Amino acid sequence: MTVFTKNNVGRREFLKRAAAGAAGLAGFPYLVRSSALGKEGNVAASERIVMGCIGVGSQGTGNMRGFLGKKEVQVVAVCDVDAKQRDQAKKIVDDRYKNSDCKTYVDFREVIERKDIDALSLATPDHWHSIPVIMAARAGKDMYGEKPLARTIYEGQVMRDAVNHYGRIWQTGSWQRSVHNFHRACELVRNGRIGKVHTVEVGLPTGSGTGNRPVQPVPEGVDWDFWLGPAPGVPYRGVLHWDWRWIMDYSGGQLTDWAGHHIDIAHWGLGLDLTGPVEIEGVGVYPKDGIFDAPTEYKFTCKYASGLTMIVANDRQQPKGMGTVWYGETGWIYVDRGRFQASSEKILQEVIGPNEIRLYQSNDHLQNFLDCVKSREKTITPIEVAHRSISVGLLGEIAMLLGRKLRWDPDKEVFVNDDAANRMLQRPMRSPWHL
Amino acid sequence: MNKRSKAIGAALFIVWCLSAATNISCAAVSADEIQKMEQAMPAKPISPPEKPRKILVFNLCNGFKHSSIPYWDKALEIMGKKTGAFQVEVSNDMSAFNAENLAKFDAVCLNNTTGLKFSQPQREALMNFVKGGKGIIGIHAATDNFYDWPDAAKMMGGQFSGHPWGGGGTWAIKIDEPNHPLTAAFKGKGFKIRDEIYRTAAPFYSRAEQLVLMSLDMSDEATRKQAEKPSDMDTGISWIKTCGKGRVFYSALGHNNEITWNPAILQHYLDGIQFALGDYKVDTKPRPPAAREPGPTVSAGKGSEMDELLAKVKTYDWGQSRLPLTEVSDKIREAYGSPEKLKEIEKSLIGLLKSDATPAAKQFVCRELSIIGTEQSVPALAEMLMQKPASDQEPHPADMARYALERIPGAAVDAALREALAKTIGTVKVGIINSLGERRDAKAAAALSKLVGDSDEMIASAAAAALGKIGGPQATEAMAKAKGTATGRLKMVVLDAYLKCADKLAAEGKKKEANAIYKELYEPDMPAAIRTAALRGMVSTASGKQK
Repeated sequence: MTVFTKNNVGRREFLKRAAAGAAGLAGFPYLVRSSALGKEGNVAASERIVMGCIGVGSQGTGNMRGFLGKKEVQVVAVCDVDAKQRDQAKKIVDDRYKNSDCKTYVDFREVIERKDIDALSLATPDHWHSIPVIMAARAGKDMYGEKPLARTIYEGQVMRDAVNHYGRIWQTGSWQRSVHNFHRACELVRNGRIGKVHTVEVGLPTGSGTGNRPVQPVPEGVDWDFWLGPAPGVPYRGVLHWDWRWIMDYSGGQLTDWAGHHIDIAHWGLGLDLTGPVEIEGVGVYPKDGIFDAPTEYKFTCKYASGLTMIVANDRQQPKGMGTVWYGETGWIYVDRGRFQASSEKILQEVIGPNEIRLYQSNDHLQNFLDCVKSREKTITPIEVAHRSISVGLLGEIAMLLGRKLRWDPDKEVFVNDDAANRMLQRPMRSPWHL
Repeated sequence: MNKRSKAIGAALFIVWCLSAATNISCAAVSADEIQKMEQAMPAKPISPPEKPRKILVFNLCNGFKHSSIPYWDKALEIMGKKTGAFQVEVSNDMSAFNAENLAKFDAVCLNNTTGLKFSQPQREALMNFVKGGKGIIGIHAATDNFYDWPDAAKMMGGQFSGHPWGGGGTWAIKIDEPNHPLTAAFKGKGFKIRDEIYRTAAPFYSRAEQLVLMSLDMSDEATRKQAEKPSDMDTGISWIKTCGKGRVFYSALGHNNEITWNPAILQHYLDGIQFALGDYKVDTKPRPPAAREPGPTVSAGKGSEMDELLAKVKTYDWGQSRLPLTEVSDKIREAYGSPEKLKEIEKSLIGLLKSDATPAAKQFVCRELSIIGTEQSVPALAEMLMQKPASDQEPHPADMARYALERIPGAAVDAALREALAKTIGTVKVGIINSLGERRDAKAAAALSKLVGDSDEMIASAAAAALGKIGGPQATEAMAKAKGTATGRLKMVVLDAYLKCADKLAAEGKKKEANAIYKELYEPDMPAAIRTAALRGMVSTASGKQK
């Protein structure tokens, strides 16, 4: 069983691994800039990880503040299509460094083209996830990117391949993996403390988007055409910074927003990080009118090749509400933010022995990314894992929209004998945008 | 009870006695309720009054008498005093409507009046008052009047036609004008409220005649269920309009007494009243749904169920009710199991594309065709690739067409895209290049190879990216050539595409050819990340033998 360990790797170790890689073994010599090699204590400016932040709304600014708190990071650029957010973010950066050096950008491509930038923090709306990642990967940037990984399964595949081909370090904002209870729950499940798992329940929030919005003038300082980017051209209707989550052109609602958390944890506990279900079927409730069209209520069942059943639903349709519950032959374990329970107290006290499976450990999601930028090790939530987590949400979305049982080949990543479903794996992009 | 509250109680009692002396109706409001009103009332005007303002609050009922009338009399009095925005005079005497008396006032407020009947001189007095530049304010049942006086019903912007939404229920309200100053009290967000909703019927209620600020939210199931007829889908709640030089503000809220101590509603009323008084200048331009002439019927007038549904979709515009679209989508979903039915539906959808339907309607249809479309849709969609939008505010027809074409399988689509490639320019051409790339159309490789040398970087980059996806000898050759000449953004796209061509060769077992390309891309002058990927390729193809 693969055991990830985290350690800083020196240049010599790099070369050794390079040789191992050349011999066809695991591991690969990712190139790293000297500016990225930092040490403990004070970090010389030339040794800091130089970062740019693309998308600085609430989540992006939160992540940016986190990075600003890290002494080995220097944030030098902020980018947003809304001048208000852009200027706010610059002020936060400049206040932190007590200068006015932070540059602002409307066009993320200009940030990616900056040669002095090592790494990016990405927090754009979901329909804007794939294109910047693909461009940044080939420009040699490491990336901390928000979940859900991608709006479509096809975009996720292309992103995964770009990041890995170009040897980039990627961390997904699925930060629950860096929280003790989730780690502990997954380790207990992985080591058979509830016996063989037959069913998993994943509870995600119930959607709420209702109401209509008239066509209205674009707020000053907002580049609406850029905001839309690859999504279909529509006039501005007051949806800009949060509500886009309930419109399927941009997101899949609460389902896809949270798939990158609790489905991600479900997979981790099951050791199914790099595969997916073979059968998906479910029902969604969609607003019939108004501007929002993402499902508010949803419930779908996934069958995995092992016979395991995963039921994903909004919290009102799950016995335990929000969170992940694994049901095994000898007990169950339930974990959610701030909640960690099992069918017996004894399970929670179990000790994981030295020869058992130890899952990758991190107690600081941002730090884990920065450490990996330096060590060139995989992060706790690499892109191929994030891709499989959101894939479950996206497969459920397609099954509910089509209203029929779908069969999925998790190796080839195509639906079996379903033309319409396969069409929905990808979305045509508005010109001039492309992957 | 401590001393202080006793004193307040005594003071309130005096106020109550005084108001009871001048206005019989106030007796119904308890001291406790008055206190709630005072607490909930805005503290200051939204805009300082230009001069002292006075409102005639009129509350006569010839029909149903609302129990909330005394509450509103009191609330308006408190509102005026606390904010300093206006004074009120309450009356139920029709003789108040004469020019001389009205001249004392800046606005008339119809507080839940019902069945008012104006004599001819009274009509002239009120109409001249408003048209001459004063204001009229309507609370809830203010539309339940003027049945023999259409001009006044028109002035009010609506006439009562029932209340399917009763005062015991809780109904959803959406803000139609979230950026308008008169909806600022709700911070742009819709809300739910327990109140009776007065419905007003066309022609007096008209979005072309007034600016509707908020209306019932029919995406809320409980609210929608009460609807009795199609026109109920647009039930206005608050609106403003001009009448001559005067101003009208009406809100349907205010049946239940507790509305008079709802802070957001009171703020909304204050803002609207100050608008009517002329102290708060706001945009009053109506926002009618895009007026479009109905075109010829879809699909040769076969009159199928789908055609009937689509007739309603044809005039759909963004911001309007999406219900007709949902009906069509649901019908399509029902037909998923039957290819024959889908074929028929597809024909109807194509009919809409060929009609003078709105861009929003056509975009909707293209989305549906992207899932159920077949080669029979290709001619209509190909035609759209050549069309231009009527304005840059509309989505480009070519983008809409590609949304469907790119997903529809079949050689006919590829052929149509290739044909359009030669005939188009600019972003339309770029979009077609992108679609050909996504479709991995090897037959397009030759034409795309030429475009890699285009002087427009956007076209050249799109062509290189498409060739990277398509791969094969022509693409590989084009990238080998472009590698030496491309600069700037194009260069990264070309190198990426060249790597992908090599990956494809490696995947086909042509390791030697692939390895040679990886070596080229591992040269020291290559960008770091490209070298990383090239090295990976070299390693994986180094010891391999040509299959």
